[in-house]
Amino acid sequence: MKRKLMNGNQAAALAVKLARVQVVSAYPITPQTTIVEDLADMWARGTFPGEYVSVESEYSAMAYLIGAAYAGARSFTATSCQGLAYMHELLHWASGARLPIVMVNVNRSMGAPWSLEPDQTDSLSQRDTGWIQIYCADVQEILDTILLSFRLAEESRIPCMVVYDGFSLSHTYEAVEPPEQEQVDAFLPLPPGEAAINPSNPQNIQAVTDSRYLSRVRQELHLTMEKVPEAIKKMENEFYKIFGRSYPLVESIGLDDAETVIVTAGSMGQTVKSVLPSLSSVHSKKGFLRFRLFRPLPDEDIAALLGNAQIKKVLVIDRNLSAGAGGIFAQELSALLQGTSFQGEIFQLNLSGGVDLTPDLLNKALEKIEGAEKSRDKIIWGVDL
Amino acid sequence: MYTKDMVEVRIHGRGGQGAVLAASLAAEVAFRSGYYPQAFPFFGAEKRGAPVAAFLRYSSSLLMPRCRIYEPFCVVLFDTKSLPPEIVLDGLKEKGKLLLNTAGENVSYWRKAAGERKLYVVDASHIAVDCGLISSGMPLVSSVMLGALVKILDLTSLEVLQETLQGKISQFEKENIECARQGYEEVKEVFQDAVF
Repeated sequence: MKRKLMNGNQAAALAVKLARVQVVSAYPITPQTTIVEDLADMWARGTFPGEYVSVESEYSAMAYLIGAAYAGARSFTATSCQGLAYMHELLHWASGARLPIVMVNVNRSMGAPWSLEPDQTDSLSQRDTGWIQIYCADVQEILDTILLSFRLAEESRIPCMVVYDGFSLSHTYEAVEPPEQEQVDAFLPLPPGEAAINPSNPQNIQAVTDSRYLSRVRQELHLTMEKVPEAIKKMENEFYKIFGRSYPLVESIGLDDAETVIVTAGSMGQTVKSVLPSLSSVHSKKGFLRFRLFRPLPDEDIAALLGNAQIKKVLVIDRNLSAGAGGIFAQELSALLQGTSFQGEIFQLNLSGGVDLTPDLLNKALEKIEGAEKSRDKIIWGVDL
Repeated sequence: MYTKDMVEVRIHGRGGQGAVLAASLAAEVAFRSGYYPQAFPFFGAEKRGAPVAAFLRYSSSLLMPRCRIYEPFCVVLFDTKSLPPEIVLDGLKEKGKLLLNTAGENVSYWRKAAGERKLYVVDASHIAVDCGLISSGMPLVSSVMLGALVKILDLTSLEVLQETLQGKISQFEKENIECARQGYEEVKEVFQDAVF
């Protein structure tokens, strides 16, 4: 298949078109804007046959899609930072109502102050809204993950958020293999079109409930979430048969004999991978682990990967912050490793605000945790290095 | 470690001049020449006329760092009046290359500022105006600078450059390809012992 150059947002728009999405509703916000610009352009030219609905805010975009999904339509939107936060209330509604909406969130720092840097706290702040969250590391992965997400959302009836870094993925051109429409159609059949809203069968939906019924609703959501990792593994097998590519729930390299493991999420993974062999020549053998699926958390897979007794140190790189607690991936990792065979120590490199992860910065942080000037600081701040 | 043949380029322009487009088209040329490219803009708000930067990175390996570029091998400057040398030359490698759009003004100043690095010049503003590429009084120099960049990086032949641009430029394609040709053919090195 012929590779083409495209950036992350173009790949996202192409995936939405190939997925035969029926309703797109969106409000522009940098760095997401070019996704919906591309879709609006396709719509205007008649090459995107779905509905494209411009609304006056992100809140309305999500509200519109909730209506569309209740009517059984395959639905998509994209946003970033403040726009995602503005949707917050409705994200709970979409998962509570089990509506299979797919959304891209392009990571951008939450204001104040205003910034365009790719901090992950926007999407991580939506951790508890009951959405599936998948973090992508390159442009091909964005395209492929969006295709997978429609099928995953529709089969599980859980909305799905595909997350990637602003600019370093959204606006970066690189070589991508665009799939053929027939391949996508074979992988992703049209949605069943089951409609809760049906004029021939009027009913009241999501009426006031008591705690016991509501607790069942929450329990069902959680139990279905727990089956998502297994479902993704099966779908990835099918994806591989059709497209010749697939992705693990957690990406890892060299964990069999690593003493120090570098953990991260998103596009920073590629920077770490590209310098991993050179890092291993200093102090200790290095391994690499990348969170891809974040909700549901593939805790058993991660615990198995980090359960080797020779792993002494883990450096978690968080481009996000829960002020007063620290990096969010680091907290999640510490919690899931409780009571497992993991015997190492967890260190944090915090790049909140969107600090750029360079090979030099990574080397300095590793020097802090295993070099001569060893630091016992709970958090190593990238901005201090 | 990523491969030794990795090349990193930084392009300085003004919003609206096409620096970001030039980086992505240079990526197309690098791709056509068998490299894996990345092209990306500076992480900022887009404002017409304001200084902007765009980046290009390519190597024979798909696996490259995904950080911004701090120590480029080559810097391209669309407008010599837009930025001072300390910003233009920031991080530029000792054996790197600097490409300027100039009709000849300030060349000795930049020759001195560039030190041991190679300096190249092309009169992109005049070429762009002659080809009719001008918007709101601003010459659209990006295709001329692209042609010159492809030449000084020794990325490909003029024929492949022209072929690569076919169908990649939405407006004034013919004029842009002509500009790229002239940039490719007219870029000149200014040697350290140059008299003028």
